[in-house]
Amino acid sequence: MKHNVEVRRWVWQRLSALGLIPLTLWFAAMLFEHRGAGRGEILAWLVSPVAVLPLAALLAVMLFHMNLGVREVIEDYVHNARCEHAALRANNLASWLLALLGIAALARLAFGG
Amino acid sequence: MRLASRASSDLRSYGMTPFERPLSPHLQIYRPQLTSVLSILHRGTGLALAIGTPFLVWWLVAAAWSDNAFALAQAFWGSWLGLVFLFGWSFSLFFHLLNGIRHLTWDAGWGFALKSTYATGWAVAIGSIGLTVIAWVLGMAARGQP
Repeated sequence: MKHNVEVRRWVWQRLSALGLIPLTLWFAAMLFEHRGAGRGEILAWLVSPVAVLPLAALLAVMLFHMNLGVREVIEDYVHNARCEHAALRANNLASWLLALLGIAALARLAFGG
Repeated sequence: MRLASRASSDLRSYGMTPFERPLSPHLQIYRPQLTSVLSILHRGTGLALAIGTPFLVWWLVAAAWSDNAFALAQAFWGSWLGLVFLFGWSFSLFFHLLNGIRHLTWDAGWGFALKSTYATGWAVAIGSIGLTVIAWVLGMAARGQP
């Protein structure tokens, strides 16, 4: 059971969901607090590790959760084996690409580029 | 098609009416009920949120990039289309969050009785619509203030 990849995905989907509860609530509160902020205020806010670290965690856990969820939908509805394989690869590629872009942007904001 | 017609003529030879064999029922066969509608919405909102992630990353990259890029992103969020997207994503987020918690309680073995399934289902439906309305009323009210 422990080494079955499907079981592990099932467990990780739940664990990432649990992690996303506080992270999304925090992000919603932050969006509300910084509503209407200009770039200057956003830059000032994002220099602090108190903002960057939870935002990086949110991004990583959210994209991981997204990857697992989209994978489930593809496995359920794409019946042609080649299409399914291609869709799963596109899903992984998109997840990694978004994660790298997001983390790179956060790093540039935090360390000032 | 040849196989199908042969099968139907075989059926006729057995004295059975062709094309009335039971098929495996699909979504549109069922009368929609709260539980099935919420289940479908959970996937739908999940996919909607997945489509939203590139936009969130775009916003972050624009903030890191330049004043012009950030102004363009902010102009999009303030536009008619941007606001419609934001409204959809806000509802999707609240729904997926509340119904996700409902799913987690099931995974923990709680709330499987039909009565509690419906009670939590209505709580999710009313809660997600309520939270969306509250968020937008607060957001719009705050917009007028500095």
